[in-house]
Amino acid sequence: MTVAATDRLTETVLAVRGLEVEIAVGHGASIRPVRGVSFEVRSGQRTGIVGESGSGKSLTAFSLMRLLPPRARIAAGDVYLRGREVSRLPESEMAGLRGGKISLIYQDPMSSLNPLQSVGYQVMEAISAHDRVGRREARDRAIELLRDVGLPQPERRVDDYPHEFSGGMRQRVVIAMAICANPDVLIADEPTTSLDVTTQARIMDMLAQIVAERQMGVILITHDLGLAASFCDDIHVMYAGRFVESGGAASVLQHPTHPYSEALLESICHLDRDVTTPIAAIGGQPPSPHELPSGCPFHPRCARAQDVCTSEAPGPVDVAGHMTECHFPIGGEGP
Amino acid sequence: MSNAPEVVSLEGPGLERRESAGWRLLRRPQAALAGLVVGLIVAATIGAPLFAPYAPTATDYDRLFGAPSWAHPFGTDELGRDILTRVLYGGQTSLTVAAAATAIAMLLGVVWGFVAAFREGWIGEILMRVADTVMALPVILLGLVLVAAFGASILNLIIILGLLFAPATARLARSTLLVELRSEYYVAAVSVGASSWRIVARELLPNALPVLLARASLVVAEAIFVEASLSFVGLGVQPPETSWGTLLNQGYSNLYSSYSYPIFPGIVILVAVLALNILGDNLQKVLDPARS
Amino acid sequence: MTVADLDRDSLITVESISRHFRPGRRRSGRVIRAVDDVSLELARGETLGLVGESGSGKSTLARLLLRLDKPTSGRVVFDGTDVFASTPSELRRLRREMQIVFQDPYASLNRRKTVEQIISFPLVVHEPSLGRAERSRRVAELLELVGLRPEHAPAHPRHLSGGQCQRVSIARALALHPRFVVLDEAVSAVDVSIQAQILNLLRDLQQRFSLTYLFVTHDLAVVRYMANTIAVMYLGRIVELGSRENLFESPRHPYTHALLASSPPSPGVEQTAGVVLREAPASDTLASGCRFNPRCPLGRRSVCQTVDPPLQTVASGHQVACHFPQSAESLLAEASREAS
Repeated sequence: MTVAATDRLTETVLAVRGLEVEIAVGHGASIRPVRGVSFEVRSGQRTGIVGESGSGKSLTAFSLMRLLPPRARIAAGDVYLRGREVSRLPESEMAGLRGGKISLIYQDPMSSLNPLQSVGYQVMEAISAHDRVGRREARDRAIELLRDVGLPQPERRVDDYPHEFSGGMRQRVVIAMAICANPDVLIADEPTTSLDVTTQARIMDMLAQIVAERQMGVILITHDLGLAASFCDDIHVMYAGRFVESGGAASVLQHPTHPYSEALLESICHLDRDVTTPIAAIGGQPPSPHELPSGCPFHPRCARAQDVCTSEAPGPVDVAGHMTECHFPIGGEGP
Repeated sequence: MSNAPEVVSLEGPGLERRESAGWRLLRRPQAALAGLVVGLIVAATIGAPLFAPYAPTATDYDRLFGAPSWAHPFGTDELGRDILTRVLYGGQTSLTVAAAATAIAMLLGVVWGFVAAFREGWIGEILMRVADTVMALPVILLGLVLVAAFGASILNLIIILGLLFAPATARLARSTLLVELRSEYYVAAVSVGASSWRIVARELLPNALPVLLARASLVVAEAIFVEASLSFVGLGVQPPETSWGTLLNQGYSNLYSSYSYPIFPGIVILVAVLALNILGDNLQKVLDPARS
Repeated sequence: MTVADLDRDSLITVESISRHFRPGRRRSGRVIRAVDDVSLELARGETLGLVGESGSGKSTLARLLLRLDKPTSGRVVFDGTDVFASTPSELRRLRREMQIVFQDPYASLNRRKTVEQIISFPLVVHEPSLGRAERSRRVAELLELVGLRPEHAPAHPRHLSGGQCQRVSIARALALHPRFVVLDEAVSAVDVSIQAQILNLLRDLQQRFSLTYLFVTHDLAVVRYMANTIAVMYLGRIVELGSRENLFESPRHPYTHALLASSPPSPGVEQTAGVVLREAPASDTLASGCRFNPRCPLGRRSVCQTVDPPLQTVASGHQVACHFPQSAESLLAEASREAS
């Protein structure tokens, strides 16, 4: 399933530099749940952003689409969509890009679909929003799209309502709506979290196929390291608003260089772990953006922390091909 | 590695410290002003013996139907009594009736609604249909009929008004309780083995209280209004008792003698009802989206 | 059909429990069999894992055991007492013995109460003679037990993280020293790193207080870690029941194979192609025969479409409800033969 994107001659469809998002919390104060995120996505490349709650991963995704909550704003950084800077575009222009050039799939398919309209109607609506086509043609395209996403017998089910479908099929419909205009970038925010485990694999397989056919860049946002490992070409591990480690998916999982990545991997309960010993849990809890520790945000929970970690935030270093933000990365110099 | 949480931070992820509802309410200019007005009216009427410039029965035959002046800011009536004084004393009656009626309406409505929520089957349905039926009838009309049937003493008035406003409260109480009954903390309370009464009183009611309080404010406003209406047509408070409605009535009969006579009681009713409505409205807004 | 293992010391016996829902009007005839004729046994001090996906009936079953719902038929016996036929005072006593921790950390705590009030609620209900000071002392003890600090006592749920709220739920559940605790997806809604902490805590507490657990989850890896006996549920029925060794070393039901195949492997381990299920039908009306049939790779056998397989013993302490129980490899081979 994983094909190295570096093998292709591909262009960069999305480039993010130093993205920071600020939220006003009243009394003139504000917090920065996203504190400087930079990455690139090429067409056909599958990138994963992995983090726990409070890491800022979902906010990052929404800010790429400029779908920020009321008191939030992009405080710094640039977002380039096919070379064009979009973080400061007027809303009217951004609206044209959403769904068309950059698209988002949410976690819960039921809240993305209007329960009072047939799925065919909703897909057709999505098509017409970006393309001037007649009703007949829109309907035909909708049926084909539903077929592409693996919906069985789409011509018969195109007029059915969302509640007549199972969760997995609804998510396929949502995906159909998201890809109808062939966007350059597709963002999937926890697309399978609300689905059964036996459905998840099929959805991800279908997504992989679609993305390969249409050469889209995909950003998968998830808390599930295993899922990211099996689907993505490369992974960014996010903690307290920044990427603490970035690298090839398999490589990050098997040879993590950041203490958080390593600790996270060790705290996951795997199918073949030893049942007699306690799991190596990370002490403490992820920091809230209201109260970030000084220096390196992971230091209160880190086994390798030294004095410098409490006062100085680490900058990115290259260790074994991964970008890591740590004073004492695993496999680098240090204890 | 330990499994005890290290950071004792009491800030939940992404949440700001919440002020109490009272403070949030007062930050809204509308609500603060309305609250002030209501406070003033209540204080003035309760303290009528202190604040009223004249005795309520003091007559001044030299100044019948006097226009508003420094001595008599609201003017004088057909017997030369100061209208401001009468408004203050009348307010005691109006507000007492309204408050008592609201208390009955809330108590009855809450019990009604809670029983309907708990016993969702036949009983709940019947209770709610009765409520719907009563609500379908115009309040004032129904009030008139009941007063005509049972007589217009203050006690009767309070009971009748209480009965009239109970159904809407019952509906609100029921829907609020249904939401709480669907919550997991309710199931948790059941699993602990607490009796239903205890659960309702200690766990569910406190959560339903804010919404009910907001409603109470609106009910008081309506009660003032209906009492005034009934008294205006002579089927409310009866002389020698005065209320804002009776003052309005007398003012209306003497309209050609003194334009100011009915205007001031009318304005006071208007301001009181408006202020209470704004207060209740803002209470609802403050409590509703911010919560849960 | 009861689980045969007569020399275990049973704390709870579930006998042919069913819970059917009839939504809509009475006459429509549409029945949802959320739990259908399930029988189980829990031995003292053990953990029974209940695995299934949405619609499997696992949460409904868990609530039935605690009398948080009424069964359509069947019995639950807790330490000799029939749970559903008990008198009010017997029920009161039972409730002290069995407790539950829910999935959603915030929803299961009363948002207007402080942590102290929440944890002391069971004490207020069942031991009213305890003075305030004594109650506070017990609450402080419980807080320490679950890894929280006294500073947390006056806080409200909204000030706490999800993991901390779950600890409060656990403390509340333990307040009356119960013997049986149901964990209904108790770690599903918290972060991965916190999940590990809570699981360790639960195991630790079980050891210290000889608790019996019913661990409900959809996550196979977690249930393997926590439970000694595991029941796999599908659409209201148990399709496979066995010890941890039975189930993970020699699974036999196609659904179990599919669940195992979808569970992510350890990093570095190559994921071999596993059993894949057919798409779930949208409607929940059950056809006759095996209810798993519409999704089964061996979909076309007539016996599967007409006869509902009962739970049958395939090895000591291992039961499967399938007409053709077999290993994953052999299942895949047969399925591809059938397809061609």
